[in-house]
Amino acid sequence: MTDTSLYEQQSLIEDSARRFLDHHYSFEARRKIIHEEPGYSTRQWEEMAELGWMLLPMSADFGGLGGDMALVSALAKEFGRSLFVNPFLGSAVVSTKIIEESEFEPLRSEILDGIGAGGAIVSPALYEAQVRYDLDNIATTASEKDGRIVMNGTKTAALYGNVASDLLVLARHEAEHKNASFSLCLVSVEQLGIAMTHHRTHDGGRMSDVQFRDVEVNRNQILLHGQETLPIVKRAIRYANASICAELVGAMEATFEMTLEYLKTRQQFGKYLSSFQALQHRMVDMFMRCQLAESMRREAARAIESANETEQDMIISAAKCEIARAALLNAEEAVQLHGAMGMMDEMPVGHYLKRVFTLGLLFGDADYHQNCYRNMRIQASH
Amino acid sequence: MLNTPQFSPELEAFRLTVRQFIHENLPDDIRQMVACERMDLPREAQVRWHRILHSQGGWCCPSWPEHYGGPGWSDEQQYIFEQELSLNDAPRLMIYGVGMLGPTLFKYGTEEQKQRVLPDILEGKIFWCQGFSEPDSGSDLASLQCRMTEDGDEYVINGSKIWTSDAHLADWIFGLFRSGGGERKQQGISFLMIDLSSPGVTIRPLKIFEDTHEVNQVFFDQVRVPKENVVGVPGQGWEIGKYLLSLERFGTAEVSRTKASMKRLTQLAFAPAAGGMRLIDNVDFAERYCRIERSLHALEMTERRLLLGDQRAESVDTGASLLKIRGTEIQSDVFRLTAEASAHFAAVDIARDYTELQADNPYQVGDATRNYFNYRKTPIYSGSNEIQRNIIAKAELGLS
Repeated sequence: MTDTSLYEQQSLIEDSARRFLDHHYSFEARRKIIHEEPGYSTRQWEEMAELGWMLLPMSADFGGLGGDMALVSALAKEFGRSLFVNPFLGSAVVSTKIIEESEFEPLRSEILDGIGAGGAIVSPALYEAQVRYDLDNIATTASEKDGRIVMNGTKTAALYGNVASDLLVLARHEAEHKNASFSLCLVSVEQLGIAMTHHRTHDGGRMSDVQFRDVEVNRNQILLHGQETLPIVKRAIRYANASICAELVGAMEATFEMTLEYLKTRQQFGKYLSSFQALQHRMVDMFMRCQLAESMRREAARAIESANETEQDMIISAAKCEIARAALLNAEEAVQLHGAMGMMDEMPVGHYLKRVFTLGLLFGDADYHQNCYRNMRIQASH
Repeated sequence: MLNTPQFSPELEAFRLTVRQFIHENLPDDIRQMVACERMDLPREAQVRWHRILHSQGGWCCPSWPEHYGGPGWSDEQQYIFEQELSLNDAPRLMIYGVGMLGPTLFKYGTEEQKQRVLPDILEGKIFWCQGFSEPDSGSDLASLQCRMTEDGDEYVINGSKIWTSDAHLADWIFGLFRSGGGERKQQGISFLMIDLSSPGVTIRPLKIFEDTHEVNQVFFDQVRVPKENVVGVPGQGWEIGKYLLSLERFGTAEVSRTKASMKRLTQLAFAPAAGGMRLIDNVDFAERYCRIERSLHALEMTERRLLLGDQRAESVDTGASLLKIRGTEIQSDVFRLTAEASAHFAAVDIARDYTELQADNPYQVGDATRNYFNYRKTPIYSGSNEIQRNIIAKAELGLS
């Protein structure tokens, strides 16, 4: 905890992100942006790339800024405060962390350059509806026969598939005389046999369902193959969850602050709401959950940088399930304490509830991570 | 158990030194009592351990600077030291003299008071207790009415203090007394030190429902106290009392004590069981267990963040209140679960002779059920959790 320059860098990122979002992404501006396609401002996206934000999660080996989670977390927390929704998490975080692990050049460098510059948006197509969050049991196949590879299956929750140039598809690799394993393929959205359905999510984000029907894949589209595929994907998901934790904590802080402000200005029974002890204690509980969540956010960032894989798994699952639950509870409390005003579309508070609920579902919800944690804990003998 | 980040190599080396010292010097009978979660250690045991620590260069008073006979440790060293005491089943420090009165005298005491009082605390000669609450002044502490009336070179004390922990073991009491009036009830309060062997002092034991004698009511009937026993100036008591309570920063959450309790619960949870079904294999138990573990980890990291800080200044003035609330909530959860983990055995009221505890009964963590009942006190004592919430609401959130 003594790296001065790291703290300075975090502060710089926070300041720059807050300035950017205050200026470009007021609640009013946001309402307009999320209701129009593609759901975010492409001009803002370009500016984000110019600020170097896309390079933050990326390893320096590929021209990135090193990928230190403390910095990504600082940025994500600011996104959370402002309800900023955009393809960053899917493309610049998850896809980047997966592609970095590929050994296939020049493809790897080309895509990473594209993502880093903001020009390419690569949407991870990993999950499938029938297996919830369980990647080990996905059904999409990449079948190898007579020298051709053909992909079939249906993916869900491909983040910002509506603007993606490419999809990163996790599939079960089937070949004659070989043990089944997993492959990760980079597929252009233009390819024959791909059908996408785009959805708007409750928080104003976008995600897509993708159907693959006999989609032909060239060998040079396979970025990862074999035993290492799934562990690499899971590592990227851990990284994503550390970032989600930060967004949730940012949202928690903002929700807390606006509720505090509301109680101090709204009067009933001739008194400010802030003078009622029943409400004060609920605010204190919200405050404490914010503080504990902030500690776990930092823990998650620390774990990504310094813990071994098992420990990382446990800490990320612990952080995700605790923070996702706390964020949701705080958002529900915030709506309640705003009274009927809390139900108004014109008030930000309800939109924070929608955001933390939706964000909490991505890459394993609270129950999923609670289960993961418990299973790991039971296996660790003491 | 989730691992916590290491301190610097120097501090981790310091940790090992402390740990080794405890292993080599903590008497077995004392360790056994603490491992049974017992808080009401006999005076003899407390003093014996205090003197062992004293012989190690003032380790008995970890927060004291060197010129008062303490080790002159940094915040980090104090934190690590208390962690190691807890994790290795060493007793809590003699909090009233060591943690509260001593540092209060550093700031408010006269030279004469320091020379008279501090060496006896350091050497474990005088055992202190604290008199704040009164029968009609609990959470509303500032309404206290135990009177001190000026009479020549002395004050005459009349009234009583209640919930006084360890008064039956103590030689002296310090506390807050009503010396005058004022517009606000916080005015006219003075901080006084009183010899409990003075004529007119009566100590009545109060038994808590769990069955132990830890707290007392202390009656003062025309008790005469020399004026040199006022700390600060008369009327300054409220300020001094608030300062004294703010000193206990590292202890209130009892994170490391609770970690030690969790280790004991872990042994029960993973113990081989007939039929192969361990406690931890029960999903509902496992979930409660895991939730405590996660909460405790979050609390420990919060404690480190708020108490030891980092280079980006933290700004939670009421961190101690937050830690006390969450710490005691989690502690209660651990003791409830430990008791419940013992099934029928939890119903058995074990005689409170800890020296006879059988190590071969896997369900025996002291008397877990007694501990569960006993530790219901922690969310109530030293400012109930409701009062702590009031403090945060007012001082941190500006709600009024």
